[in-house]
Amino acid sequence: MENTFKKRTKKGFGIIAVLIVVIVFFSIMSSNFLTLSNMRTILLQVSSTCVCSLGMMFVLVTGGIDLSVGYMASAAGMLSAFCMTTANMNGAAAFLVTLLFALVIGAIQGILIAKIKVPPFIVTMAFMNGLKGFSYLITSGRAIYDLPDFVRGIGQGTVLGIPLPVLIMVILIIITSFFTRKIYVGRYFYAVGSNEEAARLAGINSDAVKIATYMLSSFFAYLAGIIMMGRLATASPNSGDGFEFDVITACVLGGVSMSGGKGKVYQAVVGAIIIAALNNGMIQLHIDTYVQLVIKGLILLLAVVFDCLQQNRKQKVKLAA
Amino acid sequence: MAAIIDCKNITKAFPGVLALNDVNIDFQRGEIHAIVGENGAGKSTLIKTLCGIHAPDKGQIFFEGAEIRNITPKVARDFGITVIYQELTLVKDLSIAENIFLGEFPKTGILLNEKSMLRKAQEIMDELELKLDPRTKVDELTTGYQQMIEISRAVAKEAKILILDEPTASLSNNEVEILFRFIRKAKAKNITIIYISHRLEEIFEISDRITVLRDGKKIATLNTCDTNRDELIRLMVGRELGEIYPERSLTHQSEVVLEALHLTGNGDQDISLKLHKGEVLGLGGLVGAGRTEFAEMLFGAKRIDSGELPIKGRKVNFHLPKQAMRQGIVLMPEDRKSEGIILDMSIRENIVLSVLGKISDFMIVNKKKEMEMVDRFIETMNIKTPSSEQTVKNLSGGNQQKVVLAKGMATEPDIVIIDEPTRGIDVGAKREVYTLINQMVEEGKSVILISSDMEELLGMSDRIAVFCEGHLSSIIEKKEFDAELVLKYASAYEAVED
Repeated sequence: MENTFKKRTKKGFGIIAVLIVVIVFFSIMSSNFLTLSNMRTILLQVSSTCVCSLGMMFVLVTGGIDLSVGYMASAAGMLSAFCMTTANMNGAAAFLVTLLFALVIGAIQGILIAKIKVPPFIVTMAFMNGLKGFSYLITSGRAIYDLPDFVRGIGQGTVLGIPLPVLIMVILIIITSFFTRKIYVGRYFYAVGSNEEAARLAGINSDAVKIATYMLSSFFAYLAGIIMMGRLATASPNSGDGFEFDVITACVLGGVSMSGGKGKVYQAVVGAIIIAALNNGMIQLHIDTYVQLVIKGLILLLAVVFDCLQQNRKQKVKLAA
Repeated sequence: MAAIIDCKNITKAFPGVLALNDVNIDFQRGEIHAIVGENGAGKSTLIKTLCGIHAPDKGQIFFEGAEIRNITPKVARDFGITVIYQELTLVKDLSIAENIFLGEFPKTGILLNEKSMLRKAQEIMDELELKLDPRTKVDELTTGYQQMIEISRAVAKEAKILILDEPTASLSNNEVEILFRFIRKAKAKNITIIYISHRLEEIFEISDRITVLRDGKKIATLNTCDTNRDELIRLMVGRELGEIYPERSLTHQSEVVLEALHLTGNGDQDISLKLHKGEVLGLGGLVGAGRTEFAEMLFGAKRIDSGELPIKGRKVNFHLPKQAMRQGIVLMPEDRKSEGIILDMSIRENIVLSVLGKISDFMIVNKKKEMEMVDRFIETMNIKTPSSEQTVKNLSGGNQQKVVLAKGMATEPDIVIIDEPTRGIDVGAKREVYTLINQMVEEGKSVILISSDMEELLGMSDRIAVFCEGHLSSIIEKKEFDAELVLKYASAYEAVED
């Protein structure tokens, strides 16, 4: 028991150490970084990425990938804004319609992947472009500003001094954490990701698990989209551009394996915080936007290389056994 | 006569198994040398040692009189050793000629010289009397011909030694004849052929010498003309059946728990048989005869095209293994690593995988119930491990198999289908698995046992249903049990019904 505890802390420590290094680095480089207001900003910034990373974690754990989350977030914002303004619906109805839209899109992707065995990369890339088109078509590419006041409240309101997006994020982290650790269905995702055939023969409906996975991912992307819209009090069709990149980077950086079967909620969360801290710190240091992209690209690459190296090492152990 | 390969005192150990134990064996130029033995006797380890996949722990290997150390696959290939496995390595979308010269295309400058390639391929095929157009796509050939293309490729690369691993496992009798003629042609070119097969009649037909391996030891090398089938079986088995198969009191009752009525689908045709309460029904036959396919249909893992499947008299129709499990059926699959267990998960997670719903209260896994169940199975199944948190991939084959059994038994089934339960595990673990199977039937469960190990099939079954090419060819009662009878029905069928 002591041994497993040690191992666990050791493993977890790696990624938390990276977070500390990032924070220390930016604190030294910029006097503004380690201030209370900036920490609050980072937490606000991390909320949408982190929420979406929770969904992406499920996708990666089952051995898939979801590139559509960025424009799913855009589409969720645009569609609900459209419902509230042009279509004159009340807020609850607009969010419900958008929720259904997200779940249906997720289900379609899941069915194509599970039943027809289309590679997840292709399915979700097609939907990424489809949703991008959809987001722009709603208003011919214009952002929607004249939203009801409560939308601003979602993004900028506070409860007991805690910003609402942060509160939503924390609640979702607790729920998914509980789901993966305690609820038995949570284990099905890991089983399907590790060995789909064995899972199926053990009586797990692996197709249903996969379909649920992409529905979950769409659902979390939808929530992220609503939070984004709230923070800016604006729905903009390009708000989710490149968002999937941050989300995937966050998961992989945190230690969720691209080859399936492995990944914990805290890893996705810590990964997302690192990404947000980096984004924030680089802006503080006035690093050029394009240079930022190069740096983030390198970080994703490094994280994946590290993941692959670990996988290779494990395979060698397997051969020796 | 100088040996082309001479192995002296080869020993190779894997964790828990001595795969090769002080083996001395020589292969002469231009002979067809058969290697026989039960599963786990060390045949494939020997082959892998020769072609550089495994390094022996002890012993020397001489190629044409010179000792070679540190054989790598490349060294073996350069020396002219070619292994033809059951899974062929042809590129199906390319032509015969392209496949023969794959990687070494005849070139003029940087351009492919197609004319020269076709001519050379034709020459080799003429020499081996293979009457095919070298431009034909490999995809269009039957498995038998594809195998010959593989051999032609080896000949083109001037192989000196050709190792054929169960080459006839998926061939029809007619194709076997053609393949044999072809092998003899290759032999006439002074190529040494090492032939591995479970089919004894073929070995007598084609080989010059036979080496018998058992439990990693070489038992004997015999001239084929000086021996006979009975002697060979005696040498292969080497012990009385009773020694390893524990006695079981007769529990077989007349109540039918499962019945297949004209079941067709998944490659099987019109299978009708009955499974009784407390019985072990063995399914015999060659690899690919349709036994696993039949089991997959019973378990809802594959679709049934037509026919009926009454369980305890009630008609059922499964689309998913989950539904079969609810009716008390469980399948313990053939390939434990890819189907039976999840290697990256712990023993605990594997054992409870199928019953997570049952040990949960309001969807939340009840840790206490979980640990109780896991501890109980580790104890009753005698799984040797320091902790239930051990990752399954770190266990030995025998212990992994026990986890597969535990995972199945956790569902409290009435009907247990076990596919090749003892493949690749050592004799001690085998006996434990057999004892567990006996416990199952004593508890009134019914067992369908699929096994390619003849001894195991005869030793464990109450009745044996023999499959052949997707048909049920015979059902043999215990009093008529005989290895030859099983083999006879396994290689030819006429329709029967239970």
